[in-house]
Amino acid sequence: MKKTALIFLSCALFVLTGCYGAPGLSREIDDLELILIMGVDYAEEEYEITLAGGQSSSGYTEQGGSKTGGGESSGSSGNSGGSSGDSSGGAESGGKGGSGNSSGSGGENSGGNQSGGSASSGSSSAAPPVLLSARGKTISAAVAKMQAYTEKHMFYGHLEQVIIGQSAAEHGVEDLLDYMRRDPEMRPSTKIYVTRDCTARDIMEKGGGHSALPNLLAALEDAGRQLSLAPAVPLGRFEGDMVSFGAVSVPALKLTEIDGKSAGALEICGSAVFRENKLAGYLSQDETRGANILSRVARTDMVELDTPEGQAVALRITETDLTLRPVGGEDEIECININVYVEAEVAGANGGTDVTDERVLEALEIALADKERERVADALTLSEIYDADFARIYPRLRIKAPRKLPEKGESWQDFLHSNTININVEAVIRRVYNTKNPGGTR
Amino acid sequence: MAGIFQKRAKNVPYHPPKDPRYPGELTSENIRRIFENMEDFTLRPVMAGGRDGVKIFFCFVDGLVSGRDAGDLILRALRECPPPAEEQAALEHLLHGGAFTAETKRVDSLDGAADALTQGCCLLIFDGLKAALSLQQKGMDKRAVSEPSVENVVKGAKDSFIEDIRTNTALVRKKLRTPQLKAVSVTVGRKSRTKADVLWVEGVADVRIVDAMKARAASIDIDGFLATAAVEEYISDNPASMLPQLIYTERPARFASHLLEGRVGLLIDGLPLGYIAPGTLPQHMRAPEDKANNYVVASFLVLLRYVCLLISLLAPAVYIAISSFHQEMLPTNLLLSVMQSKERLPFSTAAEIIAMLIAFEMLQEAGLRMPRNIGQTVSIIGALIVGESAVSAGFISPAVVIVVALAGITGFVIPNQDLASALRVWRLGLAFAGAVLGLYAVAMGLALLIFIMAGAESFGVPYLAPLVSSPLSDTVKFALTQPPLYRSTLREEDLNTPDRRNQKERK
Repeated sequence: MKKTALIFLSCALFVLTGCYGAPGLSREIDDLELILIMGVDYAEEEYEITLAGGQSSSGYTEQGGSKTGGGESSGSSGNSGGSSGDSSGGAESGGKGGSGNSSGSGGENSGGNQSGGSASSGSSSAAPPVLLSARGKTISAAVAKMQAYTEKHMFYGHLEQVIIGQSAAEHGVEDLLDYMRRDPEMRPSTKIYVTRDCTARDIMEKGGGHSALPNLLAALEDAGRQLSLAPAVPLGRFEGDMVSFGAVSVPALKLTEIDGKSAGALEICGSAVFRENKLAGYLSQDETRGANILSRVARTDMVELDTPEGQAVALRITETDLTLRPVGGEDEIECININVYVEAEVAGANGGTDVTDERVLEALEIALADKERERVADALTLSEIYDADFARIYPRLRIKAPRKLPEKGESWQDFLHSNTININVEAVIRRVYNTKNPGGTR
Repeated sequence: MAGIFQKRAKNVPYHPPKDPRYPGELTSENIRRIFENMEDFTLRPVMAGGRDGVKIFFCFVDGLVSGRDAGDLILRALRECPPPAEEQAALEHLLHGGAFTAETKRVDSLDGAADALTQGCCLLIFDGLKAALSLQQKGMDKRAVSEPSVENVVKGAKDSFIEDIRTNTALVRKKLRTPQLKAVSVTVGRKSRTKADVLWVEGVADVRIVDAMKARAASIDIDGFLATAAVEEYISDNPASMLPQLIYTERPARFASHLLEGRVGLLIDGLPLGYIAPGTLPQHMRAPEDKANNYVVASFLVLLRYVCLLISLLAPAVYIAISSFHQEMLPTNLLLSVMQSKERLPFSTAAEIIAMLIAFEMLQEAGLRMPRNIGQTVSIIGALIVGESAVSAGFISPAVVIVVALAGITGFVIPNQDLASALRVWRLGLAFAGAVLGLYAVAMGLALLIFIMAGAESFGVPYLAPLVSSPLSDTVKFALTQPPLYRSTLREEDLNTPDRRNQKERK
């Protein structure tokens, strides 16, 4: 009897939890619209959310998108499978039609509702991305509107990247972070990017071309890691750094330009600095490298330098190290010494330069040290200008001199003003050999 | 429901065993009456000691006794016997070496005489003494010892048990030539009168397990003890459980090896198998060849089997749960692949998996029951129809075929097919659970299975021993790996062996 009761109770647990039959509890895998990238722009006191999803492993299918509320529609790409037809199949939802050019063929959208959902699903790998777009005073409302564009459930559990447009970043990301914290499907591992001189929607429409945008961003991230550009910042760390240090830098994306016109390719143009949840400014690639050296994120890089004879030599930086040392008496800090150690190897030498020549090597080492010093100094200067400790120097100094540095209080700007910072860079070139005379090595 | 059965049971009266089963005096007439209407029964008068000798009755069951041996060894002995003065002298003469048989016993009851005849003995009935002599013939026709049909090994002995219990005990004794190997016979079955031998190594096996085995075998009161399943159900601690609680083997070498480890064996006349108790889960995960392999390879294979057990049990359920409830658990690219394969299919993932699992079971069952060459055809048709055509026709997704095939193949890795079959049922149950409430239900189902396993015992030894009952070192040594044999100097602690050491301690 006891056993029967136990089995009955065990079985009952399955169905008496109150969850059984709850709407949306179980969804078939093919009823999901995977959202992989979210673009957030801000204009005219409204958020414009652009979503990119994928239904095939090799690429995206295309869907038209539009805004159904808020007065103005903003149709995006409407071509399916790269053909040049117009996406005019959807019901018009109001307002003026958008004219977003598709990346493939330049067809014009007549502002219809999202129409290609089922028709385009499972199309060839050459299909450009699914794009959905809507506006709203809040991000949640804008996102909710887009659910009506597709018969499938929009699923954010695989959201890999959030691209924040420059306008939205300048407006502040508090609302975005709030939305992402509240949505149970969002992951803290979602990576944050910021655009420069363009909108997130531009990046999503034009940046990927015919390849998958998440893959392109992942490739950029890899390349950025090798060149110590801007490491991808996951949402969790973004929030954590913002709370702990008040500032954080994230990779900045822009569309490459040739002769002032967009070439339709993406690049990481440095990083964007956030302070108190708002965009404080941008760092160039060199400044980003300097910031990464300061925050000990940078290890490797590729640097081009000239020899005294004017020949170009490429140095591959293989090791970068940094020590921070506050110097001073018992109560006060007189100066801060920043010692940087850089180790490199010759990756290429133009014009038959003999890189085993000690004179050449010394000149290169001095030039490399100067370059790295300049990068670090520039990053520090910008840190002062933006009043943002994005390289997390202050907390590390506090660990070394806890009694001399208050936990909170004076701003980072004041701290930089009141202390002298000495930057010493030691650059060493190892693993040198002459390709014409393999015996000559360092 | 139980009440209905109880009511019916009441209408059928219990028939207690009669003792004696055949009342009366042991005479040729009574024997003839007991064995009447038996074409293969022979009873005829013979004269012990020639024409002037004593008249006695010679009888046997044809087929159970070789006619030529009976003639050569018994009838010739009777003729060559000096003419006795009376029956008692003839009996004494034959009992003490007069008959050329290996075993001669005096029988004084009809029960004993009937048993002796049905066991394959010849009987000499002395009507005047109301007694008989049972003469054991060793030449009955039987199958030759051949190679094992299921437990094939590359390295190891190639002999296997046959249907004759004495041959089987001899095969075991050839491996363990010690008088410490004990064998006690129990006759089971009112009608079948099957002989069952309990075997153990004295001083090594726990006496309590031996006594339990003897008691359980002796307490079986059924008409016939013919099928293998009957043995397990009557001997096991919990016959309702699907989990196998006895180890079975057709290899005397493995049987002997288990006896040496401190387990108790059971051989049954008519079954070419030996049963070993206690049977714990880690023992069911052992293959016959583990000890013949290099210990690294064997350990890898043991661990692989556990991994396969988990995959076989959980793969369909977890796939259903993830694809219906927890899509965020899959890597993005994998999810996209699965979504693409599932696109525009009519059935839900759960329905696909469960239907495929059932189809797989049907195919497996059909393949087993068919004659071998037809079975192959069934397999090929099944693989083509279920694997290929169903996918091409858009009924099921290729990912589902992969998952079900993976579950099926990993199930075959488990050496004990009883355990594999039990897990097949659990696999289906867990798949249902996964379809109802996702990973939560799968975890609940798995917890229930562990709960049942942890609560089970086989002859007083926990079913999960030594996984749950011993220190980690023993768990690794006896359950999860195959340590080098020269380092396995101790027997398993859970078996409570009086003598734990099995070899000289290595320094």
